[in-house]
Amino acid sequence: MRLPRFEYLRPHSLEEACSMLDEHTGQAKVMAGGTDVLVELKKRGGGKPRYVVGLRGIPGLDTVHFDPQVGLRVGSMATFAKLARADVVRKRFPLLWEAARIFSRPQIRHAGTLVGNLCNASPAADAVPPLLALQAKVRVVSARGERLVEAESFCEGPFQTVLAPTEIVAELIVPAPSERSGWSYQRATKRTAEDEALAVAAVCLEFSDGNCTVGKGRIALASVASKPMRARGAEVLIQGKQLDEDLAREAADLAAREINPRSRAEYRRLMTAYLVKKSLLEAGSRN
Amino acid sequence: MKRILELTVNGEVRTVLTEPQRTLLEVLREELELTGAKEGCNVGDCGTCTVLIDGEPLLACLTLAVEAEGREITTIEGLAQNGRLHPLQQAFVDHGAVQCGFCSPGVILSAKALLDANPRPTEEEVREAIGGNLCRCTGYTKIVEAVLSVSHALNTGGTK
Amino acid sequence: MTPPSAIGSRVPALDGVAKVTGAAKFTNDLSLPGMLVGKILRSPHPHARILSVDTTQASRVAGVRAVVSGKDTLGIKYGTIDPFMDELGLAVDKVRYIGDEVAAVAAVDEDTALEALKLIRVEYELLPAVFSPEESMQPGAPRLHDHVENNISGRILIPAGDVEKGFRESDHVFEDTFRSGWITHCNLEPHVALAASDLSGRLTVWCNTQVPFRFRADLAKTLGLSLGMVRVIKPFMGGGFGARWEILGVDFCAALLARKTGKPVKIVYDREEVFSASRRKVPMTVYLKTGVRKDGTLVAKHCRVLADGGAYNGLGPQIIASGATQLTNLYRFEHFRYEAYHVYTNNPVTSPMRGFGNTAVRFADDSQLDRIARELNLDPVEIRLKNAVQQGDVTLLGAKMKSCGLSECLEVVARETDFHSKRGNLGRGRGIGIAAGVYVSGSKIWVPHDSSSAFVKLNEDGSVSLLTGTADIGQGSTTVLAQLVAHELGISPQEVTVIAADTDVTPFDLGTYASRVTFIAGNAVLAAARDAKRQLLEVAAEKMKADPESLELRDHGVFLKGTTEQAMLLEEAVVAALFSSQGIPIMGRGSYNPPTDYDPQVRKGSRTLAYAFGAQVAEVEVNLETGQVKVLSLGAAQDCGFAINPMAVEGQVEGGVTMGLGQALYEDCLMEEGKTLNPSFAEYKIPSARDVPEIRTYLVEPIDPEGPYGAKGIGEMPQLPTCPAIANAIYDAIGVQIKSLPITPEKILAALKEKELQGVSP
Repeated sequence: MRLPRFEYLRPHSLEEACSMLDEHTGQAKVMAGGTDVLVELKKRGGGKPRYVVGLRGIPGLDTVHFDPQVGLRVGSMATFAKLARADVVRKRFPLLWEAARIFSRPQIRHAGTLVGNLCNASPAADAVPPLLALQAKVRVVSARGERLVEAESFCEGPFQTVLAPTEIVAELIVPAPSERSGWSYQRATKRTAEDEALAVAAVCLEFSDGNCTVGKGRIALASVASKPMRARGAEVLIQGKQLDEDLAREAADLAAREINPRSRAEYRRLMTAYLVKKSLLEAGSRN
Repeated sequence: MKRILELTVNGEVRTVLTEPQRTLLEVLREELELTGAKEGCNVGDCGTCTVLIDGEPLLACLTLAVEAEGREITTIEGLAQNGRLHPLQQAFVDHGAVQCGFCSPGVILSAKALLDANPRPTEEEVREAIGGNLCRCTGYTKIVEAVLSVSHALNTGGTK
Repeated sequence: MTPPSAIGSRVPALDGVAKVTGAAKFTNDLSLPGMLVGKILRSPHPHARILSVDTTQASRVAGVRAVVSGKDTLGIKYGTIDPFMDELGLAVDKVRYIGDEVAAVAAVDEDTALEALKLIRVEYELLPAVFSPEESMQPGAPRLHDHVENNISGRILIPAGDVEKGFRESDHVFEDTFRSGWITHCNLEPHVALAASDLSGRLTVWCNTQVPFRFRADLAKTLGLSLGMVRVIKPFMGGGFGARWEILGVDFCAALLARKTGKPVKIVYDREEVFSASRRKVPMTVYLKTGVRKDGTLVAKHCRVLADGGAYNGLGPQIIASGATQLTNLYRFEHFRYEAYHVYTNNPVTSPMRGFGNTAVRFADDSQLDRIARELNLDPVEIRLKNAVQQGDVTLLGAKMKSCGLSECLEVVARETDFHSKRGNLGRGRGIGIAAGVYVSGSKIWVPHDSSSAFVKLNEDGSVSLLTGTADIGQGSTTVLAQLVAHELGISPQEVTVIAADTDVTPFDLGTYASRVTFIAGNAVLAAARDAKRQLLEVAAEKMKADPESLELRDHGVFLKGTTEQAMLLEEAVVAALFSSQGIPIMGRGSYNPPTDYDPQVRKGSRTLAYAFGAQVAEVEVNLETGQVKVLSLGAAQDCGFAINPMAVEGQVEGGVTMGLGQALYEDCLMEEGKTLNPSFAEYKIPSARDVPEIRTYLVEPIDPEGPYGAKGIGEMPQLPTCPAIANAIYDAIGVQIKSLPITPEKILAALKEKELQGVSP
C-alpha cells in the first residue's frame, strides 16, 4: 500500500497555492498535516491526483493567536499539539483546547491540523463539534478573493465540503465565548480507549445569571450523522430555562432523537443521550 | 520526477535522490538503510514507524520525505551517543520491556518525546504518550515501568 | 563475592540492546543484491472453480521477471499429517476463501509488481459458498473439498466413564452454550519471506517462522526439492503467537519465484493482507453440560465443540482436541464426554493462535463454574479449590500431574487481590471475578517424538556458543537457554553467544509452539551443556591429575570442589583439549524427547510431562447506563515450576493477560459472506497502553521433577484465565452472565434489559 505517483508542489504563499489550484484544477490535492490525505491516497488512491500541494512552506500559516476584534485565529497549518500548548486557547477557548489535547494519538496530534480535520469532513471528525459549538467561521481563499463560511455549513456530507477545487482554507476564526459561559467536551469511543469516536458532544452554554439559567446554548455532535451537526431541538428546549438534572436529561433525550446514525444506531442514540446529558451538566458546573 | 533531498538525520546531512511520493519511512529504510523504524501497517495505525522530527513524535509512514527537509530527524539509531545507550534504551533492556522488539524503537522514541517535554509524567501520562504505539507482546506493564524509572532517575536529587 | 546465579535471576534479554538500538534485523530489514519484490494475487471470491489463468499480459510489463500460478507448481499438498493435508501453495483448480492465493509476480519494484498483478486474467466459475459451520454441515451444502463429506474434516469423540450416569447422580445439572469471536494474531511484524536460489539451485529462505525445520520440510516437499537443498533461517522476529507455524503463500511464492527468476525475491504482506488473508484463531461454539453435587463437587461434564475451520485444515483438526484436556486437567470430576467437530467453511483459514483451542473451552468452563457457584450459593474460590487437580493426580484422560501449583495460585491471587473482602462490597456496577487455567509444556500426540536438540561449543578463548534450533519469537528463549548453559559452565549468560534457528547450522528442533521451549529445548540445552562440561572436566582432570568428580566449574574457571583457589581458567582447559596432540574441540551435544505415554488411538495418557497452572482475578467497573466496561486491575498467579528468568516469566504473563483482555472485550473480525470488513489496526482493536490496567503477577514455583531445574513452559497459559476472569467480574457486577465474546457494551445492555424484564432485581 504505497502512495501513488504525484508531483509535489510547495507554494510559499496562499496566493501561490491558489494559483496552483487554478492551474491544475481537479488534478491537485491540498495537504496540510497529511494524516488524512496520505492515508486516503494509500488506501483508495484518493482520485489519484497528479499534484499534491503542500502548505507546509507557507510562513505564518501555522499560527494561533487571539485577535480581540474577531477572536481566535487558527491558521490551517496549526497542529493539534500547537493548539494544546497555546495558553490563550487553554484559558479562553477551553472547549477547543480539550478537543485538541485529547485528539487521537500523540503522533497524530503533532502532525494533524484542526483545519485539516474539518476539511477531511469525516462524519466522525472529533474536533469539529467544538467549532460548531463556538460558532467558528472558516476563511476560504481562492485566486478570485475570499469568503467566510460558517463552520456549521462547511461540511456537506461524508467527506464532502463546500470547498471548490480552486479554494483553500486560510484560517479558522473562533469568536470568544461570553464571559458567563460553561463548556464541556465528551467523547465515547467505539471499543478501546485509543479508537475512533462512537459519539462526540461539544457543548457551549451562555448563562444569563449565576443560577444556570441558559441564555443561549449550542450542542454540537459528531459521529452520529452523515456530518457533524447541532442538536437544535435540544438547544431550543433549554433556552431561557434553568439547567438542572431533569432539563439536561430531557434535552439529551431530544438530542438523541435528532441524530441520524448509519450504524449501531440504537447504541449511538443511547450514547448521544448519555454524553449530551453529561456535557450539559458539566457545562453548567463550569458556569 | 526524482529530486534531490537533503535530510538531516541523527545530526548528519544525508543526500538522497527520490520521488515526491516516497514517505520518510521508505527513504529511511530503503535509501538510508536505517531500518530501526518499522513498517507495521504503513497507514498510521500501529506506531512502529515513529520517529522524532524536531523532537516531536511523528509517523514516518505518513510523512513525505520531501516535507522532512530542513527539519531534525531522529531515529532510534541516533539515540545512543558515543556507544552509550540512552537511559531509556538501557531501562527498556533492564526492565524486561523488550520482547520481540518490533515496537521498541517507536515506543522508545515516543517515550523520549514525553520525557523531554515532561520530565515528571504520571503513569497515566506515560500510557497516554505511548498510546499510539501498539505492542502485542508485553502488555505494556514493563514498558511503563521502564519509562517511569528513567523519569525517577532524572528527578532524584533535583530541586523541583 | 559470588556473582548471582545465572538461573533464577532477572537477566535482561541478551538481544535487548540490539533491539533497542535498531540494530536487530528483522526479515524485512534484509536485502540482497538484485532483490525483486513479489506480490500475490488473491481470490476475490469465497468459493469458485478456476477455469483459466492468463498471465501473458502481466509477464509483458517492463520490469516483471516472473509470473506464476498453480500450473507452475507441482500441485503437492501440505499440512500436518496425512488425512488432513489439503492445502496448496498456489490454488490449482479451486479457490475456497476470499484471499486464497492464485498467482504471484516478481518484479523490480512494488509498483511494477502491483501493475502486473492487475493484468493477470483469472476466469472463475462461482460456486455457492457457506460461512458458518452450521450452514456448512447441512446436507446439500456445497462441498468444499472433494474428499470430505458434510465438510466435517475432523471429529473427536472422547468418552470417559458414563456421563449419563454422572448426570443422574448429580444434584444439579447446568447447561450453557458459549461462543468465542473471530480473533487474529496481530503480530506487529507482518508476514514476510525473502528467498534466494543459488546457482546450484539451493534455496535459502529467511522468514519470520516459529518452526524453521518444519518450514524447510514443507517448502522442500511442495517445491519438489530434497531437504538438503533448502535452508531456512529465522532472523529477529516480531511475534509469533501461532501465526507462523505453517508455510503460507508468502513463503511458498517467494521460494517459487526465487527459483524461477534466479534472483532473491522478497514478499511482505501488507497489513490488510495479514488481517484478511492469513490465519485466524479457531472460533468455537462450546456447549457445556455439567453435573454437580450440592456441595459443589463436580461429577460429570459433557462438552461439544463446533469449530469454524475456514477453508483449509491448517492445524484445525488437532486444535479441536485441546478442549478435552483443558477440561480434565484443571478440575476433577468422574465422568466425561467430549465431542468436537472441525467444519470447513468458505471463511479464512483458522489455525493455531496462542492457546491452541484451549481458550474458548476455558472461557466456557470457568464462566459456567461461576454460575454454578452463584446458584448453589458457594464461594467461587472455594468451589475451585474443592475441585482443583492436585500434584500426583492422574486425570480422567490419563494426564499425570507431577507438579501442580493450582491451589496455591488460587489462594495467592485471591489473597493478593483482596478477593473476599471485595466480593459483594464493591458497590453498584463494580465486580470482581476469578478464573483458572492449565496448559502443557509441549505436546506429543501424533508422532513419536517432540524433540529438541542442541550443541554447546566452547571456543578457544573460553567463550561459549549455543547452537539451538529453537526460534525465539520474542518470548526470550535465547536468554533463558543461555542462562541454563551459563549456569552449567560457571559463566555469565552474557558470555554465551546463541546461534539459533538456522536449519543448516543448528541441530534439529521442532520449534516454538505448545509452550515447549523452556521445558523441552531447555532440557536439550542442559544435556548439551552438561556434556560439554563433562568433556571439559575430563581434560582439566587429566591436566591436574585429579578425579573429574572432584572438579567443578564456576566463575569462568575450574575449581577443586570445596576450594576457593582457581585451578585453571575455562579457556585453558579448552586450549588444552584443542591444541593437544589429539586436537579435540570441546563440543557438547544434547537432545530431549520427553518420555510421554499418550496413546493417540484411545486419546489417553500424558502428551506432555509438565502442566503449568494459573489463576487470575479481574476487577471491573461497568457503566450501567452505557454498558462500557473498564478493567480496573488484573492479578495473575502463575505456576511456572522454577522461574529460570522471573522477569521473562512476568513478561509472558503480562502479555498473555493483555491478549486475553483484548479477546474478552474488544477483538473480533467482522465477517460478511467471507469478507473481512475490518482488516486494519484502526478497525480491529487490540489493547493499547491506555486500555491495560495494572497487572500484578505472582509467581508460584512448585518444582517440576522433569523440567530443567524444575521449570515449566508458560508462553500460552497466562492467556487462558483472563477471558473468564473478566467475564466473571462482569457477571458479579451486573448479575447476568454473558456467554459470547467479545463482551461488548451492547451485549451488556441487552443482558441488563432482559434481566429487568424478567423482574430480577440487580
